[in-house]
Amino acid sequence: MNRFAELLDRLAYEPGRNNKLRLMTDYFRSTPDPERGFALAALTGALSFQHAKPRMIRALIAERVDPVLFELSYDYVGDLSETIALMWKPRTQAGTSLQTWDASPSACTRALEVDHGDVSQGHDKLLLSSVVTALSSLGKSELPGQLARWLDRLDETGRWALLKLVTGGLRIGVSARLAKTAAAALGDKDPQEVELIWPDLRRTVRLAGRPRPQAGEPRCHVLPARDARPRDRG
Amino acid sequence: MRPEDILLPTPAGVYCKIGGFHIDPTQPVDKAVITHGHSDHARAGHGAVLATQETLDLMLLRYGTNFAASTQAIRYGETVTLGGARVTFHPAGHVLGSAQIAVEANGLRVVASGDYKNVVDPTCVAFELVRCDVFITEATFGLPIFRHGNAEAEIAKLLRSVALFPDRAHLVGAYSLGKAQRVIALIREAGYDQPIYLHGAMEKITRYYESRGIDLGRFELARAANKAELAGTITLCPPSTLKDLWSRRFPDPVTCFASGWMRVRARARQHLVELPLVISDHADWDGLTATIAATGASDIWVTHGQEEALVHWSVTRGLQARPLDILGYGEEDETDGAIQNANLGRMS
Repeated sequence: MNRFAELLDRLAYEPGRNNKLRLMTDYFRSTPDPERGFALAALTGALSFQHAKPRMIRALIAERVDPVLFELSYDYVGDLSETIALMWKPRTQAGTSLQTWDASPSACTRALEVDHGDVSQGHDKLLLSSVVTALSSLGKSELPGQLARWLDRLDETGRWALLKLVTGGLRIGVSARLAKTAAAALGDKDPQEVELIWPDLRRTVRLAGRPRPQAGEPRCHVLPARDARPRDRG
Repeated sequence: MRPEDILLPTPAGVYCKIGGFHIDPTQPVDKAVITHGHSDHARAGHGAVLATQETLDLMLLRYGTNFAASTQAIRYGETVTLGGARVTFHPAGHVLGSAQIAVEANGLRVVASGDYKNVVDPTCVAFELVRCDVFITEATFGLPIFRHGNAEAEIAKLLRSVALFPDRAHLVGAYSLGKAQRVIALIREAGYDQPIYLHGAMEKITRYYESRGIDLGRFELARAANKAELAGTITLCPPSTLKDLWSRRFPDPVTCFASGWMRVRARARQHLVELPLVISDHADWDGLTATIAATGASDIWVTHGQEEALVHWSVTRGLQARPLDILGYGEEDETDGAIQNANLGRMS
């Protein structure tokens, strides 16, 4: 999730088409399956699951922060997902480094560094593939609790990417066509890599609703049909 | 004695009547005590100036020899008596030479912290916590959306981008006093040993940092290099020059900006930044609130920035708190930009 979030973050700021391609191709090249297959599906808009509503994520943050500070912050940032991503205080580290202040600055910094270390280990464990798989099977009542646990494990950029994903619409200025071009560009450098990614790529095309799987053809192993349904509008 | 009898907030800065001086005055005064060299705090045209040697040197570099009628240098931990007040300087961890100023009279201690940060910075002395009765805090990043995180991780992001785009130049906007030198030092700590290029407006201050024993590795002026040579390199420049004519000498530049403001996407987009680097020389929300609590002060005066949120937080913790409406602070980027543009005319 961490690397995917970083990719979305870079893509959202990068205006140039060729530079966007370079960022995506680099990501696909250096990310193993099935993670990059899920990333490609997310970038091409091929994932489909029940999205979280703004009211639900707003209720999540309301449990954790002072309402006055939330309003001031939301007013300043102007975007709900982003405000929550920035304000979210992981429960696991709450208070550890801050309330037990050691007067020496180096001790304070050490405590902060330990926190960052823990957080970054957290994102290594949380994979985009497990998030997407879980989202597709979660019931509506389970979603808020699961979302909060994921938010606890991510940093600002990770939380922003997760909230973009679950509320629907990444809005990072990348078309499905551009994402597929980036995946195909792997072939120019190393044909072996295309072979590796091909099952995911083919699955993505299926999910987009074009070539329907034929009876008897092996089904996608990574994404069972119930986990990710083809979009009706194709 | 009331705190206001020691330090009185006025629109031109806080004024100590019993000592006859202002702290970081925004208008010319007879006696000024200065926390640090940024242009919104250290202005030219005062009568007598009391500050650390580094702050005085930086003012001299920026404003020329006539920046004040007389100057007096003071070391960290040193106390001077001004009228009826005892004045002590303590490290603020913000930039080279930055200080918090403790003013004491009749057993009451007021600390004016100037700008500060409580994280390690290889280019300046670490912040020192000073217990006090009244704490005057900045609030530049006084909203709980601002958590600066780990500066080393931001530098790693920059270096990965340099490796990914070897045909492009990376232009890193950074305030020319403090931030630029800290970013260079962090890049060196990360093991990058290529020359780092500088905009001409940063040369004097960066050389001054070197003269104070801060090792920044090899740097060169960007104007001495041709376009092809700048591919795959890192250049530091004032934020105001990121999108001006000067930046056209670089091959397909990646616009980066090292600032705490980069945490907010709308701010990064306003500056047309492609690679925001969250690196700040100010305390973030956690740093501000932890410091306020640790000073033991029962009365918090909040100045320049997001006063409202920090005052609210202090009140919910049972502290007295109020905003000081001092005009002219916290516009470091704008004021620095103006100065750099003025310098640009002279230097290039």
